[in-house]
Amino acid sequence: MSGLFYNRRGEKYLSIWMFAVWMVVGVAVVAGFTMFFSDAFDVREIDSKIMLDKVEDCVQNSGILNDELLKGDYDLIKCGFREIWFDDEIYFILVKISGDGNYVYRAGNFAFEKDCEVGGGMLRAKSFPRCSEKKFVLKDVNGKEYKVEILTASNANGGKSI
Amino acid sequence: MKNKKADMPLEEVTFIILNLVFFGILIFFVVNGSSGAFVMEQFYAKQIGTVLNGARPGTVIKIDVSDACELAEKNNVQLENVFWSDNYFHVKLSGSKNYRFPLFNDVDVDESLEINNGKVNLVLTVK
Repeated sequence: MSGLFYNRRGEKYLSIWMFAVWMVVGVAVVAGFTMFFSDAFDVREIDSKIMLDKVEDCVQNSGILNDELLKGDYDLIKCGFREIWFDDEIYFILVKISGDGNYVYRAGNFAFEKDCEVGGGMLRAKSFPRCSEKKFVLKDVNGKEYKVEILTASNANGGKSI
Repeated sequence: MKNKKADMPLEEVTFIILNLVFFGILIFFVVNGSSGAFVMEQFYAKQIGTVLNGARPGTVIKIDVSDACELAEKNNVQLENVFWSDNYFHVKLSGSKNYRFPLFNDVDVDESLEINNGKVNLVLTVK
């Protein structure tokens, strides 16, 4: 039976090293497969862009700044977002309006604001949210100009149900 | 002249067979995994979830989901239980847990399946 593990020169065919090599190859293939498919289906960046467009629609009406935002107590979430996800902290929205007064609105996971700043410099760090940003100028109904800055972030990965 | 094949000793044959089995298992894992339920559930949940997040009320979306339904039937999942939504968009293609993707867009979605010439379309009506 011992002949099964040795060739004619006495070298082992089925040595522990061969099984070790198989294990390394197997783990590498499984890891590569998992990484490839998790990255191929990463839609967080698209999600943050879609959210940015949606927030932009809330901020303006046909190119005119939504005057509700200048009253200071506007609830961004009420503008067509599901509140549950902003309590769950997988999304973040920031709207800054400056001109005749400064207004800042935040919703969701506030830590993402810093993560977006840092994450941009780190090459696609996995755990960081994906962010989208837009800056533009809008006029209110009286023709006064305001600078508008929108930042959205998404860390929505989905997953198997519990 | 000697027949080399006939001379091949048992240990070499075993070594080759074990290698073939090992790499066969790897190839089976990759091929089966890439067309398997987990990957397809993830693909459909994320793609459809993203589309729904950007959809406005009144939009009707039709998506060919024939391959997903074929896999669901193979895994004994009833077609009416494959796609549904609440705060998530869910996809279930195997007997185990479903895959879900969060919907931040506050809209109601009606899901129905339309079978046409052997093709199965998922019809999503955004309200």
